[in-house]
Amino acid sequence: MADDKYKIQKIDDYRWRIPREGKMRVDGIVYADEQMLKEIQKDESLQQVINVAHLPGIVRHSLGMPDIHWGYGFPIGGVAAFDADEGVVSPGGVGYDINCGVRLLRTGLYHTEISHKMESLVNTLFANIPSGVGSHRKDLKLSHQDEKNVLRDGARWAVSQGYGTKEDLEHIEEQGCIPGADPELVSDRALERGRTQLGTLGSGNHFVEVGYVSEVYDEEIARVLGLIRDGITIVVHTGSRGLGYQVCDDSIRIMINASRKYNIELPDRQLCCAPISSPEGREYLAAMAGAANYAFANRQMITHWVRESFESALHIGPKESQISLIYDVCHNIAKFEEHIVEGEQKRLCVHRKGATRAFPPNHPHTPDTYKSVGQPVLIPGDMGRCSYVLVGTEKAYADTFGSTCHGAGRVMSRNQAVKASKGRSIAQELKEKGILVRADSRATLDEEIPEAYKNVTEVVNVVEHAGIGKKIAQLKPLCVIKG
Amino acid sequence: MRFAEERDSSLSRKKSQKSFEIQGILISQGGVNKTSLSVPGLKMEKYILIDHTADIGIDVYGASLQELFTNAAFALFDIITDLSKVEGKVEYKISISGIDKEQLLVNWLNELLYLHDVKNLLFHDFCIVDITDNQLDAVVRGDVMEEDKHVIKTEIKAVTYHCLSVVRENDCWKARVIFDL
Repeated sequence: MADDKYKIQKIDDYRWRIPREGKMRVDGIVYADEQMLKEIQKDESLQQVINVAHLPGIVRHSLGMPDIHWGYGFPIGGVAAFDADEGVVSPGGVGYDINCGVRLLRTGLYHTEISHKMESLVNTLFANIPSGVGSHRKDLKLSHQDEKNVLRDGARWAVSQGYGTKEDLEHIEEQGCIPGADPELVSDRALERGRTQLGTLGSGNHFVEVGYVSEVYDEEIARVLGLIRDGITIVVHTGSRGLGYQVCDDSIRIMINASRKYNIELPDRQLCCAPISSPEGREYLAAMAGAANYAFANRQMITHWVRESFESALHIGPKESQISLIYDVCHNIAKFEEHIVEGEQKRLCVHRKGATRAFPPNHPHTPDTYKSVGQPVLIPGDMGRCSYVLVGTEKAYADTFGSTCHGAGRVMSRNQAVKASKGRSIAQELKEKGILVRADSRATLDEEIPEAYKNVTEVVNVVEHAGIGKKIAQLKPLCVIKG
Repeated sequence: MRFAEERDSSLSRKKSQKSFEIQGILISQGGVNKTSLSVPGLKMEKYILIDHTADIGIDVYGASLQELFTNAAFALFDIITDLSKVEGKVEYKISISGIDKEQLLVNWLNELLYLHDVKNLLFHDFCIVDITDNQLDAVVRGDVMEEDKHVIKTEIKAVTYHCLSVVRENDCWKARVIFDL
């Protein structure tokens, strides 16, 4: 298939190359099937893959995952790795919602056991977990020093305060704490925004979803992950809230000047960046790590309230609910990792914006529990369809810096979605499909209608065929709370 | 960190009630795509929403730079809330700078967003007292958000620099801004 605008070359059924030209430093490579590629070309995301390929120190390729769509600066579903010595770091390559991510919990409960209590469960979750603009737990008061500890220690801080267990920490990317965070490099404004928002879900596409294992594709690996057919699961999707947005905005202002200072030519101002080794680059990474740790703590606290909600709504104790953390992944992050580039081991700063780390079996960063099977990867779909659990592969490690997709990816703008849902009750439609939804605003539901997203099954199938993730199980939603 | 005695107090009740409301009552859905502004001898839109797959963008218009910035701020809060419910009980003075018009616009809108986020404020009236390419002084009016009165239609995370432009076309100022949702 040829395309005039982008000179796309087919590599195989699931990979497409945008050859380097002009000031591009590397080729772009996009993972998609032919039909999906046609959809992708309807917006500007391929131009964004090209723009990222212009940045100094980019290694191997500028990558687009199959859920790629038009973002700001970097595409959403974009992966780019930069040489730690010669490359740059870009706040726009991480995004405003630093360490937006998902975590997957398993339970000892079965679908049939609790289906009649779903109404009570969704109401309890909605009451206990603050969602929507301005909401927060009235019983949580964070001092200035507490907040700095959150930024430094991440999920470890939350566990030290009684939110969850030490075992939880083993099952979080980076054990829930990215090293090198410096709270002193986070502005007072960011801290101010963060103080009342810790332990809140936020709005937009963030959610807590209770579902069940509807399909198992690999019994053996599913067993290692603790996933049993019809077993109840919970997915938590949120990030670093206003603190992260402010860290990103503060950093972009600095990086716009830094790009000029270091003579970095930018195809889009949102791609502003600084050398990783420069003071601006180092300071951004230390502030970003703080925001990422805040997000880990946020998801950890929400997990605690999920546990409490199950126990109070179902009148059971922790021994019966048996809620344990399978894994927690970041999907907006820049991290230092070791990868093999042209036969040489190199230290790279891997930017994943709307992309998930997918490390293979036996990688040192894959937790001990999952050493034999690979790092769990969670791919949430839209509210009405399903989500997938995958594991990382050697091929992902070799070809995509150990990365894969992060979700379904939007196909409809929010405005189109609101128009498409006019005159409909989305909550009622979902209820008829057996899915209870509670949301802080009706607009959120309208914007997040299932058809606003690509079919996650198609996205995950591309991932599987391309070998950058192995499909283990499918989860179907039973109830969802949204901001 | 301190914990209050009762864990699931007022928050629980308020939120449960709200969850039922959304099933029955039609809350405003952001149907304002175009908002007209009458200027003597000239009729133009304040802003137009532009479609962006993941986020939302605006094309903003103004007869002067001052009006352009006023309309951009109006658009921001028109997307966030139903402005007819905002009365203007509180007033803030704002001084903002930027390296150029484009950054000044982003900094201005992000400043308003910061006040919205931290102080739960919704603004509806923007009086720009003085503006240059690098600096603006303004007085803005709005209300502190009340749960039973005001509606949040869309949460805007940030104002981005992506596709950002501020240009003058035939005696009219035009800006494009993309918000991260």
